[in-house]
Amino acid sequence: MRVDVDVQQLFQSGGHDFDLNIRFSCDEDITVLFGQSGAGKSLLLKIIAGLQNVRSGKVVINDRVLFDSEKGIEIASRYRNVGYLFQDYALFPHMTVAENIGFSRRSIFSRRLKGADLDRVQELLDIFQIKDFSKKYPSEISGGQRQRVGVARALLQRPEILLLDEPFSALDPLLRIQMRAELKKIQSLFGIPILLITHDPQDVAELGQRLILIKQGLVTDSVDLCGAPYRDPLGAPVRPEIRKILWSAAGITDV
Amino acid sequence: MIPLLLSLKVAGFATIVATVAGVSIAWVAAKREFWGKEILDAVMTLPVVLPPTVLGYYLLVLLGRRGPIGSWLESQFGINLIFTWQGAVIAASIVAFPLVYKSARSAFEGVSRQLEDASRVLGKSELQVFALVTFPLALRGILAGSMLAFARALGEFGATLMVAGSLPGKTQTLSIAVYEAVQAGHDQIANFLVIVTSIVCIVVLLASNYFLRPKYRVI
Repeated sequence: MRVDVDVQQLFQSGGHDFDLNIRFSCDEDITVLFGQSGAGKSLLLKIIAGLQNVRSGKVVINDRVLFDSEKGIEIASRYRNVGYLFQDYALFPHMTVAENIGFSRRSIFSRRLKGADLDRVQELLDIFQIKDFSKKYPSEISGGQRQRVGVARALLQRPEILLLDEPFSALDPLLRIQMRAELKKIQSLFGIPILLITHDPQDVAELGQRLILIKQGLVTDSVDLCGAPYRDPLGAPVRPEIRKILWSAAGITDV
Repeated sequence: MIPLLLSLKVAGFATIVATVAGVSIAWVAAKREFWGKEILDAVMTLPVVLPPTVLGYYLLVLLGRRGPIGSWLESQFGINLIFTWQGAVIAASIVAFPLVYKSARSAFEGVSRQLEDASRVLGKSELQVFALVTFPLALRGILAGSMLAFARALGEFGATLMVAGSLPGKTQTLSIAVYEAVQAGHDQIANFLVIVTSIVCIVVLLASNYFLRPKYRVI
């Protein structure tokens, strides 16, 4: 598993220019892209998923070229096979939990799934412990359950990579701790690499194996977090250089 | 009863025409960016603002034997629309069109881009995105617009009278029949027609409330 991204684009809106110039590579199970709001993190995920056009650059996942401006390659979103969890999960409000999870296999003409697809939905409902809510609508379940549905829906088509846009920001702090642990379990169970963006240092400390710092549209640092104890029992990062990086990225300078 | 049946027929066809056209153009206006979008919007909304008689006059000029469309239809297919119920359908469709267009456009704009993006990432084509996500989520707004369009078409008077006239049993719709009855001093017929119209309208409103009740909540 390897991700190579190198993209450049100048965004202009209402006299406000934003220059995105991001280049990084990673091959860890969980990579955390960390930066303040407005650093261009969400934009980057959209570019990888093909939901946002860019002028020049390259996006390669597992040797599969998704975008290459020089060779004129631009694969449409629907063929990229990436799992995407939106910040507020973007569940379809008019479909039940089970219908949401099975969405990627559903045709226009039939509401029901058949055979293997149906089994797969049942399996995911089991794994994510949401079987009891399978016939409920998204508005009828809690925030944590919604997130599980969102992840399960993204996993149904066995994506090459899972892109998570601030997955825990909509949850209360206690639930965050639980969902981080669940996400780790899910990652090792499915073996699908995760690219996660966040502005919460706790996410980095708990989940990250590689940390990529983004500031105003630029990658400022890429740190290997593996192989060293990097958090204390409360989950705060202890390695001083990492703590320093996180704090300065968060705009705190007097460490 | 013939004016009532004729009115229902004209209003029914007009609602179908207005809905198909209104939904298509509303989708383009809501989801695509192009030059002159607001000019298109203004033109599409014009029939609400223009007096029906003015609209009727435009149609008469366009569809009449010497009009550009009318003469072409006459020479190519031998079709004449003036003083026919089909002409009344065209008049009612145009009068009712903006009601569908306006509510469908705001309904489409209310469907979040993120939900559509989510379905694209989940492997859906643009047609599937529309059929599975955009359209079902906009359906209530579209139906509300269609109901209003039906009600408007049922009560249509000015443009229909200009284009289709008032031929009893052929183009004399309910609202025109009421006018004729009052003019002729046939109070009993007028009373009867007015009561029938009111009942039909109330039934339509009750039915639309029933069909438009929400089945799910948007988070």
